[in-house]
Amino acid sequence: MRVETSSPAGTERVGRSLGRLLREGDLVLLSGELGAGKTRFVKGLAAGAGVARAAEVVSPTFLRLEEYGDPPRVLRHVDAYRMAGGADLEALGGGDLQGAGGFMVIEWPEHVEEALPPDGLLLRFSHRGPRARRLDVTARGPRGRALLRALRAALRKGRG
Amino acid sequence: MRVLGIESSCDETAAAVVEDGARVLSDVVASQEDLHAPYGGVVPEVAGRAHEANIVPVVGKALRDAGLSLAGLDGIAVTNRPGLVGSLLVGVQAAKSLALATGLPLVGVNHVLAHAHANMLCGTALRFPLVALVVSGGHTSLYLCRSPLEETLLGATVDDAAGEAFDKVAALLGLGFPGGPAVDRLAREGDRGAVRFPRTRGAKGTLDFSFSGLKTAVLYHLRGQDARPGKGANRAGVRPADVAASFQEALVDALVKVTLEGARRARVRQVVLGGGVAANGRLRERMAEEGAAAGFEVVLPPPRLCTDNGAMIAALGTRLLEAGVRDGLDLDVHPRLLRNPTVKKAPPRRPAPAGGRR
Repeated sequence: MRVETSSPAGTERVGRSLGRLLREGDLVLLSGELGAGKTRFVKGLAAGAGVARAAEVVSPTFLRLEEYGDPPRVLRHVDAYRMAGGADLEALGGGDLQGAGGFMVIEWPEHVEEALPPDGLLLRFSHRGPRARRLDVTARGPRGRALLRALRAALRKGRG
Repeated sequence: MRVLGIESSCDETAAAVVEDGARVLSDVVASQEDLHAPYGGVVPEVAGRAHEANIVPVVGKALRDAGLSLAGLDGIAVTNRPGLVGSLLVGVQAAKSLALATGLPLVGVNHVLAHAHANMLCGTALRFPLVALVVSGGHTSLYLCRSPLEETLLGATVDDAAGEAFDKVAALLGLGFPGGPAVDRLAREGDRGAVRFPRTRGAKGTLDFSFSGLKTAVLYHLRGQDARPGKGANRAGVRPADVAASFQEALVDALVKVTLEGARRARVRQVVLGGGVAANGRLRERMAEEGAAAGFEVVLPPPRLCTDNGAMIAALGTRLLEAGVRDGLDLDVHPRLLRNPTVKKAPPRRPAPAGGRR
Protein backbone atom coordinates (compact mmCIF):
# COMPACT_ATOMS: atom_id res chain seq x y z
CA MET A 1 0.00 0.00 0.00
CA ARG A 2 1.20 3.51 -0.76
CA VAL A 3 0.15 6.52 1.30
CA GLU A 4 0.94 10.11 0.32
CA THR A 5 1.01 12.77 3.01
CA SER A 6 1.25 16.48 2.32
CA SER A 7 2.62 17.69 5.67
CA PRO A 8 4.28 16.52 8.89
CA ALA A 9 0.85 16.73 10.55
CA GLY A 10 -0.51 14.42 7.85
CA THR A 11 2.29 11.93 8.50
CA GLU A 12 1.48 12.09 12.22
CA ARG A 13 -2.20 11.37 11.46
CA VAL A 14 -1.32 8.16 9.60
CA GLY A 15 0.73 7.17 12.64
CA ARG A 16 -2.27 7.84 14.85
CA SER A 17 -4.44 5.55 12.72
CA LEU A 18 -1.90 2.76 12.99
CA GLY A 19 -1.44 3.32 16.73
CA ARG A 20 -5.11 2.67 17.35
CA LEU A 21 -4.76 -0.79 15.76
CA LEU A 22 -1.74 -1.99 17.72
CA ARG A 23 -1.87 -4.71 20.30
CA GLU A 24 0.64 -6.55 22.43
CA GLY A 25 3.44 -8.22 20.48
CA ASP A 26 3.08 -6.05 17.37
CA LEU A 27 6.13 -4.88 15.47
CA VAL A 28 6.36 -1.80 13.23
CA LEU A 29 9.50 -1.05 11.22
CA LEU A 30 10.16 2.48 9.96
CA SER A 31 12.71 2.86 7.21
CA GLY A 32 13.78 6.09 5.54
CA GLU A 33 16.56 8.61 5.73
CA LEU A 34 17.13 11.58 8.03
CA GLY A 35 14.25 14.02 8.09
CA ALA A 36 11.80 11.65 6.39
CA GLY A 37 9.28 11.88 9.22
CA LYS A 38 9.83 8.64 11.13
CA THR A 39 9.88 10.13 14.62
CA ARG A 40 6.98 12.43 13.72
CA PHE A 41 5.04 9.33 12.68
CA VAL A 42 5.77 7.70 16.06
CA LYS A 43 4.38 10.78 17.84
CA GLY A 44 1.03 10.02 16.18
CA LEU A 45 1.39 6.30 16.74
CA ALA A 46 1.99 6.72 20.48
CA ALA A 47 -0.99 9.06 20.80
CA GLY A 48 -3.21 6.71 18.78
CA ALA A 49 -2.15 3.78 20.93
CA GLY A 50 -2.94 5.85 24.01
CA VAL A 51 0.49 5.48 25.61
CA ALA A 52 1.78 9.06 25.40
CA ARG A 53 0.92 12.53 24.18
CA ALA A 54 2.54 13.37 20.85
CA ALA A 55 4.71 16.08 22.47
CA GLU A 56 6.17 13.56 24.90
CA VAL A 57 7.66 11.41 22.16
CA VAL A 58 11.23 12.47 21.39
CA SER A 59 13.92 11.17 19.10
CA PRO A 60 15.37 7.98 20.59
CA THR A 61 18.69 8.38 18.75
CA PHE A 62 20.72 9.15 21.87
CA LEU A 63 19.39 6.44 24.15
CA ARG A 64 18.53 4.03 21.29
CA LEU A 65 15.41 3.08 23.24
CA GLU A 66 12.58 5.14 24.67
CA GLU A 67 9.62 3.52 26.38
CA TYR A 68 6.15 4.95 26.80
CA GLY A 69 3.05 3.80 28.67
CA ASP A 70 2.38 1.41 31.51
CA PRO A 71 2.58 -2.39 31.35
CA PRO A 72 1.26 -4.30 29.58
CA ARG A 73 0.55 -1.51 27.07
CA VAL A 74 4.11 -0.29 26.60
CA LEU A 75 5.51 1.19 23.41
CA ARG A 76 9.20 0.44 22.88
CA HIS A 77 10.59 2.99 20.45
CA VAL A 78 13.95 1.80 19.19
CA ASP A 79 16.37 3.78 17.01
CA ALA A 80 18.96 1.63 15.27
CA TYR A 81 20.56 4.65 13.53
CA ARG A 82 23.75 4.08 15.49
CA MET A 83 23.71 0.33 15.61
CA ALA A 84 26.01 -1.82 13.56
CA GLY A 85 24.27 -5.20 13.69
CA GLY A 86 21.67 -7.41 15.26
CA ALA A 87 23.76 -8.02 18.38
CA ASP A 88 23.34 -4.33 19.26
CA LEU A 89 19.56 -4.69 19.18
CA GLU A 90 19.68 -7.81 21.32
CA ALA A 91 21.99 -6.12 23.84
CA LEU A 92 19.48 -3.32 24.18
CA GLY A 93 16.74 -5.51 25.56
CA GLY A 94 18.76 -8.18 27.26
CA GLY A 95 18.09 -10.33 24.20
CA ASP A 96 14.33 -10.39 24.66
CA LEU A 97 12.80 -7.14 23.50
CA GLN A 98 9.63 -8.73 22.18
CA GLY A 99 9.24 -11.13 25.07
CA ALA A 100 9.14 -8.06 27.30
CA GLY A 101 5.55 -7.48 26.16
CA GLY A 102 4.01 -4.36 24.70
CA PHE A 103 4.62 -3.38 21.12
CA MET A 104 7.71 -2.16 19.37
CA VAL A 105 8.62 0.38 16.72
CA ILE A 106 12.10 0.24 15.21
CA GLU A 107 13.61 3.07 13.18
CA TRP A 108 16.51 2.24 10.82
CA PRO A 109 15.63 -1.51 10.87
CA GLU A 110 18.10 -2.24 8.05
CA HIS A 111 20.93 -1.69 10.57
CA VAL A 112 19.78 -4.66 12.63
CA GLU A 113 18.11 -6.75 9.91
CA GLU A 114 19.38 -10.14 11.12
CA ALA A 115 17.88 -9.68 14.60
CA LEU A 116 14.41 -8.54 13.53
CA PRO A 117 11.40 -10.64 14.46
CA PRO A 118 9.85 -12.06 11.27
CA ASP A 119 6.29 -10.74 11.56
CA GLY A 120 5.33 -7.11 11.40
CA LEU A 121 4.56 -4.06 9.30
CA LEU A 122 7.26 -2.25 7.34
CA LEU A 123 6.86 1.40 6.32
CA ARG A 124 9.35 2.98 3.96
CA PHE A 125 9.37 6.79 4.09
CA SER A 126 10.56 8.88 1.19
CA HIS A 127 10.79 12.62 0.53
CA ARG A 128 8.35 14.02 -2.05
CA GLY A 129 9.03 17.69 -1.32
CA PRO A 130 9.94 19.78 1.69
CA ARG A 131 6.76 18.72 3.53
CA ALA A 132 5.25 15.92 1.47
CA ARG A 133 6.20 12.31 2.11
CA ARG A 134 5.42 8.95 0.58
CA LEU A 135 4.90 5.94 2.82
CA ASP A 136 5.21 2.51 1.21
CA VAL A 137 3.64 -0.01 3.54
CA THR A 138 4.36 -3.72 3.25
CA ALA A 139 3.48 -6.68 5.45
CA ARG A 140 5.98 -9.21 6.75
CA GLY A 141 4.11 -12.25 8.05
CA PRO A 142 0.46 -12.89 8.98
CA ARG A 143 0.07 -10.24 11.69
CA GLY A 144 1.69 -7.74 9.36
CA ARG A 145 -0.89 -8.58 6.70
CA ALA A 146 -3.74 -8.16 9.20
CA LEU A 147 -2.37 -4.78 10.29
CA LEU A 148 -1.97 -3.69 6.67
CA ARG A 149 -5.62 -4.57 5.90
CA ALA A 150 -6.84 -2.79 9.02
CA LEU A 151 -4.72 0.30 8.31
CA ARG A 152 -5.99 0.46 4.72
CA ALA A 153 -9.57 0.32 5.98
CA ALA A 154 -8.94 2.92 8.67
CA LEU A 155 -7.34 5.37 6.24
CA ARG A 156 -10.13 4.90 3.69
CA LYS A 157 -12.71 5.56 6.36
CA GLY A 158 -10.77 8.61 7.53
CA ARG A 159 -10.85 10.07 4.01
CA GLY A 160 -14.51 9.30 3.37
CA MET B 1 32.94 16.27 52.94
CA ARG B 2 34.55 13.97 50.38
CA VAL B 3 32.19 12.37 47.91
CA LEU B 4 32.83 9.75 45.24
CA GLY B 5 30.83 10.43 42.08
CA ILE B 6 30.09 7.66 39.57
CA GLU B 7 28.76 8.25 36.05
CA SER B 8 27.85 5.66 33.39
CA SER B 9 24.77 6.97 31.60
CA CYS B 10 26.19 7.09 28.07
CA ASP B 11 29.66 7.00 26.44
CA GLU B 12 31.84 7.53 29.46
CA THR B 13 32.56 5.41 32.48
CA ALA B 14 33.66 8.02 34.95
CA ALA B 15 34.47 8.39 38.63
CA ALA B 16 35.80 11.28 40.66
CA VAL B 17 36.37 12.35 44.23
CA VAL B 18 35.31 15.88 45.09
CA GLU B 19 35.87 17.70 48.38
CA ASP B 20 33.14 19.97 49.73
CA GLY B 21 31.39 19.96 46.36
CA ALA B 22 34.01 22.26 44.89
CA ARG B 23 37.55 20.87 44.91
CA VAL B 24 38.30 18.02 42.51
CA LEU B 25 40.69 15.54 44.14
CA SER B 26 40.55 13.13 41.21
CA ASP B 27 38.66 12.87 37.95
CA VAL B 28 38.91 9.69 35.86
CA VAL B 29 37.07 9.25 32.57
CA ALA B 30 37.29 6.18 30.35
CA SER B 31 35.88 7.48 27.10
CA GLN B 32 34.44 5.11 24.56
CA GLU B 33 34.57 7.63 21.77
CA ASP B 34 37.33 5.71 20.01
CA LEU B 35 35.30 2.52 20.20
CA HIS B 36 32.24 4.29 18.82
CA ALA B 37 33.77 6.47 16.12
CA PRO B 38 33.71 3.71 13.45
CA TYR B 39 29.92 3.42 13.89
CA GLY B 40 29.25 7.15 13.86
CA GLY B 41 27.81 7.09 17.34
CA VAL B 42 27.32 5.21 20.52
CA VAL B 43 26.69 1.50 20.18
CA PRO B 44 24.82 0.14 23.19
CA GLU B 45 26.38 -3.29 23.19
CA VAL B 46 29.82 -1.78 23.11
CA ALA B 47 28.75 0.75 25.74
CA GLY B 48 27.28 -1.77 28.18
CA ARG B 49 30.18 -4.15 27.90
CA ALA B 50 32.77 -1.41 28.20
CA HIS B 51 31.06 0.02 31.30
CA GLU B 52 31.22 -3.39 32.94
CA ALA B 53 34.89 -3.75 32.07
CA ASN B 54 35.76 -0.18 33.06
CA ILE B 55 33.82 0.49 36.23
CA VAL B 56 36.07 -1.21 38.80
CA PRO B 57 39.39 0.07 37.40
CA VAL B 58 37.95 3.58 36.96
CA VAL B 59 36.66 3.79 40.54
CA GLY B 60 39.94 2.32 41.81
CA LYS B 61 41.96 4.90 39.92
CA ALA B 62 39.75 7.74 41.17
CA LEU B 63 40.47 6.70 44.77
CA ARG B 64 44.21 6.22 44.13
CA ASP B 65 44.51 9.57 42.34
CA ALA B 66 42.79 11.23 45.30
CA GLY B 67 45.19 9.45 47.66
CA LEU B 68 42.25 7.95 49.54
CA SER B 69 40.89 4.59 50.55
CA LEU B 70 37.15 3.99 50.84
CA ALA B 71 37.49 4.86 54.53
CA GLY B 72 38.44 8.40 53.53
CA LEU B 73 35.07 9.03 51.86
CA ASP B 74 31.94 10.58 53.38
CA GLY B 75 29.44 9.62 50.72
CA ILE B 76 28.73 8.10 47.32
CA ALA B 77 26.80 9.77 44.50
CA VAL B 78 25.79 8.03 41.31
CA THR B 79 23.91 8.94 38.14
CA ASN B 80 20.61 7.06 38.23
CA ARG B 81 18.72 9.06 35.57
CA PRO B 82 18.28 9.63 32.69
CA GLY B 83 20.10 7.28 30.34
CA LEU B 84 20.09 3.81 28.88
CA VAL B 85 18.97 1.37 31.57
CA GLY B 86 21.73 -1.17 30.90
CA SER B 87 24.44 1.47 31.15
CA LEU B 88 22.97 3.24 34.19
CA LEU B 89 22.67 -0.07 36.03
CA VAL B 90 26.42 -0.70 35.85
CA GLY B 91 27.21 2.51 37.77
CA VAL B 92 24.30 2.15 40.18
CA GLN B 93 25.17 -1.45 41.03
CA ALA B 94 28.78 -0.44 41.70
CA ALA B 95 27.67 2.44 43.92
CA LYS B 96 25.26 0.24 45.86
CA SER B 97 27.91 -2.42 46.39
CA LEU B 98 30.30 0.18 47.76
CA ALA B 99 27.59 1.67 49.99
CA LEU B 100 26.66 -1.76 51.31
CA ALA B 101 30.29 -2.69 51.99
CA THR B 102 31.21 0.60 53.67
CA GLY B 103 27.95 1.82 55.18
CA LEU B 104 28.51 5.18 53.46
CA PRO B 105 25.44 7.25 52.56
CA LEU B 106 24.29 6.87 48.96
CA VAL B 107 22.46 9.33 46.75
CA GLY B 108 21.16 9.07 43.17
CA VAL B 109 21.78 12.07 40.96
CA ASN B 110 20.04 13.52 37.89
CA HIS B 111 22.71 13.56 35.19
CA VAL B 112 21.21 16.55 33.39
CA LEU B 113 21.08 18.72 36.51
CA ALA B 114 24.60 17.65 37.41
CA HIS B 115 25.79 19.25 34.15
CA ALA B 116 24.56 22.61 35.45
CA HIS B 117 26.20 22.04 38.82
CA ALA B 118 29.54 21.26 37.13
CA ASN B 119 30.07 25.01 37.25
CA MET B 120 30.68 24.79 41.01
CA LEU B 121 33.89 22.90 40.24
CA CYS B 122 35.64 25.93 38.83
CA GLY B 123 34.95 28.21 41.72
CA THR B 124 31.76 29.72 40.30
CA ALA B 125 29.16 30.44 42.93
CA LEU B 126 25.71 29.29 41.84
CA ARG B 127 23.09 31.77 43.01
CA PHE B 128 19.68 30.24 43.45
CA PRO B 129 17.11 30.54 42.08
CA LEU B 130 18.70 30.14 38.64
CA VAL B 131 17.78 28.96 35.19
CA ALA B 132 19.97 26.24 33.68
CA LEU B 133 20.14 25.22 30.04
CA VAL B 134 21.65 21.76 29.60
CA VAL B 135 22.42 20.89 26.00
CA SER B 136 24.12 17.74 24.77
CA GLY B 137 23.74 14.82 22.39
CA GLY B 138 20.80 13.48 24.31
CA HIS B 139 19.44 16.43 26.23
CA THR B 140 18.05 19.86 25.61
CA SER B 141 16.47 20.81 28.91
CA LEU B 142 15.70 24.12 30.54
CA TYR B 143 15.46 23.95 34.32
CA LEU B 144 14.44 26.37 37.00
CA CYS B 145 16.48 25.46 40.09
CA ARG B 146 15.28 27.05 43.32
CA SER B 147 17.97 25.17 45.23
CA PRO B 148 20.11 22.11 44.54
CA LEU B 149 17.10 20.09 45.73
CA GLU B 150 14.20 21.80 44.01
CA GLU B 151 14.02 21.82 40.25
CA THR B 152 11.29 22.37 37.73
CA LEU B 153 11.68 21.36 34.11
CA LEU B 154 10.59 24.51 32.27
CA GLY B 155 11.04 23.11 28.79
CA ALA B 156 12.77 20.45 26.73
CA THR B 157 13.10 19.35 23.15
CA VAL B 158 10.00 17.81 21.64
CA ASP B 159 12.04 15.92 19.03
CA ASP B 160 15.82 16.01 18.45
CA ALA B 161 18.32 17.15 21.07
CA ALA B 162 20.62 20.04 20.10
CA GLY B 163 23.70 17.82 20.03
CA GLU B 164 21.84 15.27 17.96
CA ALA B 165 20.95 17.98 15.43
CA PHE B 166 24.66 18.86 15.24
CA ASP B 167 25.56 15.18 14.71
CA LYS B 168 22.94 14.67 12.03
CA VAL B 169 23.73 17.87 10.13
CA ALA B 170 27.42 16.92 10.35
CA ALA B 171 26.48 13.58 8.75
CA LEU B 172 24.56 15.40 5.98
CA LEU B 173 27.64 17.58 5.39
CA GLY B 174 29.89 14.52 5.35
CA LEU B 175 31.75 15.61 8.51
CA GLY B 176 32.88 13.20 11.23
CA PHE B 177 31.51 12.22 14.63
CA PRO B 178 31.04 13.88 17.06
CA GLY B 179 29.39 16.48 14.88
CA GLY B 180 29.31 19.43 17.28
CA PRO B 181 32.99 20.36 17.23
CA ALA B 182 33.21 19.62 13.47
CA VAL B 183 30.30 21.94 12.63
CA ASP B 184 31.60 24.59 15.06
CA ARG B 185 35.00 24.54 13.32
CA LEU B 186 33.62 24.64 9.78
CA ALA B 187 31.12 27.35 10.71
CA ARG B 188 33.95 29.74 11.57
CA GLU B 189 34.84 29.88 7.85
CA GLY B 190 31.26 30.41 6.77
CA ASP B 191 28.74 33.22 6.50
CA ARG B 192 26.05 32.70 9.13
CA GLY B 193 23.68 34.96 7.22
CA ALA B 194 24.04 32.99 3.98
CA VAL B 195 20.95 30.82 4.45
CA ARG B 196 17.94 31.80 6.52
CA PHE B 197 17.01 28.46 8.11
CA PRO B 198 13.75 28.30 10.08
CA ARG B 199 13.85 29.30 13.76
CA THR B 200 11.75 26.45 15.07
CA ARG B 201 10.68 25.91 18.64
CA GLY B 202 8.10 23.93 20.60
CA ALA B 203 4.39 24.71 20.85
CA LYS B 204 3.39 28.34 21.26
CA GLY B 205 3.56 29.61 24.82
CA THR B 206 5.82 26.79 25.96
CA LEU B 207 9.57 26.91 26.60
CA ASP B 208 10.11 23.78 24.52
CA PHE B 209 12.63 23.34 21.75
CA SER B 210 12.30 21.64 18.37
CA PHE B 211 15.20 20.92 16.03
CA SER B 212 13.88 18.20 13.75
CA GLY B 213 12.48 20.69 11.21
CA LEU B 214 15.77 22.57 11.16
CA LYS B 215 17.64 19.37 10.30
CA THR B 216 15.17 18.67 7.48
CA ALA B 217 15.52 22.24 6.18
CA VAL B 218 19.30 21.72 5.98
CA LEU B 219 18.72 18.48 4.07
CA TYR B 220 16.52 20.24 1.51
CA HIS B 221 18.90 23.11 1.17
CA LEU B 222 21.77 20.70 0.44
CA ARG B 223 19.89 18.53 -2.01
CA GLY B 224 17.35 20.76 -3.61
CA GLN B 225 13.61 20.33 -3.49
CA ASP B 226 13.53 16.68 -4.52
CA ALA B 227 16.03 15.73 -1.78
CA ARG B 228 17.64 13.00 -3.81
CA PRO B 229 19.46 10.75 -1.37
CA GLY B 230 23.10 9.80 -1.44
CA LYS B 231 26.34 11.32 -0.29
CA GLY B 232 27.89 14.01 -2.45
CA ALA B 233 24.45 14.86 -3.84
CA ASN B 234 24.86 18.44 -2.72
CA ARG B 235 23.67 21.03 -5.17
CA ALA B 236 26.14 23.10 -7.09
CA GLY B 237 26.84 26.44 -5.47
CA VAL B 238 26.19 25.24 -1.93
CA ARG B 239 29.09 26.12 0.38
CA PRO B 240 29.26 23.65 3.30
CA ALA B 241 30.87 26.28 5.56
CA ASP B 242 27.96 28.66 4.92
CA VAL B 243 25.46 25.89 5.62
CA ALA B 244 27.26 24.96 8.86
CA ALA B 245 27.38 28.58 9.99
CA SER B 246 23.75 29.29 9.06
CA PHE B 247 22.48 26.08 10.68
CA GLN B 248 24.43 26.79 13.85
CA GLU B 249 23.09 30.32 13.95
CA ALA B 250 19.48 29.13 13.70
CA LEU B 251 19.98 26.55 16.44
CA VAL B 252 21.83 28.93 18.76
CA ASP B 253 19.16 31.56 18.11
CA ALA B 254 16.48 29.23 19.47
CA LEU B 255 18.57 28.17 22.47
CA VAL B 256 19.39 31.74 23.49
CA LYS B 257 15.88 33.16 22.93
CA VAL B 258 14.02 30.42 24.82
CA THR B 259 16.55 30.36 27.66
CA LEU B 260 16.42 34.10 28.23
CA GLU B 261 12.64 34.05 27.97
CA GLY B 262 12.60 31.36 30.66
CA ALA B 263 14.95 33.40 32.84
CA ARG B 264 12.74 36.48 32.47
CA ARG B 265 9.57 34.54 33.26
CA ALA B 266 11.16 32.90 36.32
CA ARG B 267 12.66 36.24 37.45
CA VAL B 268 16.08 34.81 38.21
CA ARG B 269 19.40 36.63 38.17
CA GLN B 270 21.65 33.83 37.00
CA VAL B 271 21.62 31.80 33.77
CA VAL B 272 23.79 28.68 33.80
CA LEU B 273 24.91 26.53 30.86
CA GLY B 274 25.99 22.91 30.91
CA GLY B 275 26.44 19.85 28.69
CA GLY B 276 28.58 19.09 25.66
CA VAL B 277 26.94 21.68 23.39
CA ALA B 278 27.77 24.35 26.00
CA ALA B 279 31.30 24.11 24.57
CA ASN B 280 30.01 25.51 21.25
CA GLY B 281 31.77 28.78 20.51
CA ARG B 282 28.85 30.61 18.98
CA LEU B 283 26.40 29.59 21.75
CA ARG B 284 28.82 30.85 24.42
CA GLU B 285 29.39 34.10 22.58
CA ARG B 286 25.72 34.89 22.06
CA MET B 287 24.48 33.70 25.45
CA ALA B 288 27.14 35.81 27.18
CA GLU B 289 26.35 38.90 25.10
CA GLU B 290 22.58 38.75 25.02
CA GLY B 291 22.26 37.44 28.58
CA ALA B 292 24.36 40.30 29.91
CA ALA B 293 22.39 42.80 27.82
CA ALA B 294 19.18 41.46 29.38
CA GLY B 295 20.63 41.89 32.86
CA PHE B 296 21.48 38.29 33.71
CA GLU B 297 24.69 36.90 35.09
CA VAL B 298 25.62 34.20 32.57
CA VAL B 299 27.70 31.27 33.83
CA LEU B 300 29.60 29.39 31.11
CA PRO B 301 31.40 26.20 32.12
CA PRO B 302 34.98 25.74 30.93
CA PRO B 303 34.85 23.30 27.97
CA ARG B 304 36.60 20.55 29.96
CA LEU B 305 33.64 20.47 32.39
CA CYS B 306 31.05 20.30 29.60
CA THR B 307 31.54 16.64 28.78
CA ASP B 308 30.30 13.78 30.94
CA ASN B 309 32.37 13.31 34.08
CA GLY B 310 32.12 11.94 37.59
CA ALA B 311 33.11 15.18 39.30
CA MET B 312 29.82 16.90 38.44
CA ILE B 313 27.93 13.93 39.88
CA ALA B 314 29.96 14.21 43.08
CA ALA B 315 29.41 18.00 43.17
CA LEU B 316 25.62 17.82 42.99
CA GLY B 317 25.65 14.67 45.16
CA THR B 318 27.49 16.61 47.86
CA ARG B 319 24.78 19.28 47.92
CA LEU B 320 22.09 16.61 48.21
CA LEU B 321 23.92 14.70 50.95
CA GLU B 322 24.55 17.93 52.86
CA ALA B 323 20.83 18.58 52.74
CA GLY B 324 20.15 15.16 54.21
CA VAL B 325 18.93 13.41 51.07
CA ARG B 326 19.66 9.67 51.12
CA ASP B 327 18.77 6.81 48.83
CA GLY B 328 18.58 3.23 49.98
CA LEU B 329 19.96 0.09 48.42
CA ASP B 330 16.73 -0.11 46.43
CA LEU B 331 17.83 2.93 44.41
CA ASP B 332 16.37 2.43 40.94
CA VAL B 333 17.36 3.73 37.50
CA HIS B 334 15.10 5.91 35.36
CA PRO B 335 15.67 6.03 31.61
CA ARG B 336 13.78 9.27 31.05
CA LEU B 337 13.28 12.54 32.85
CA LEU B 338 9.73 13.29 33.79
CA ARG B 339 8.53 16.06 31.55
CA ASN B 340 6.39 17.66 34.17
CA PRO B 341 7.55 17.03 37.74
CA THR B 342 4.58 18.99 39.09
CA VAL B 343 2.20 16.37 37.72
CA LYS B 344 4.16 13.26 38.55
CA LYS B 345 6.50 13.19 41.53
CA ALA B 346 10.20 12.75 40.90
CA PRO B 347 11.78 9.45 42.00
CA PRO B 348 11.20 8.95 45.73
CA ARG B 349 13.64 10.50 48.12
CA ARG B 350 13.92 9.65 51.75
CA PRO B 351 15.16 12.34 54.08
CA ALA B 352 17.84 11.08 56.45
CA PRO B 353 16.39 9.65 59.63
CA ALA B 354 17.24 11.61 62.74
CA GLY B 355 20.80 10.95 63.80
CA GLY B 356 21.94 10.05 60.29
CA ARG B 357 22.18 6.69 58.63
CA ARG B 358 25.43 4.84 59.20
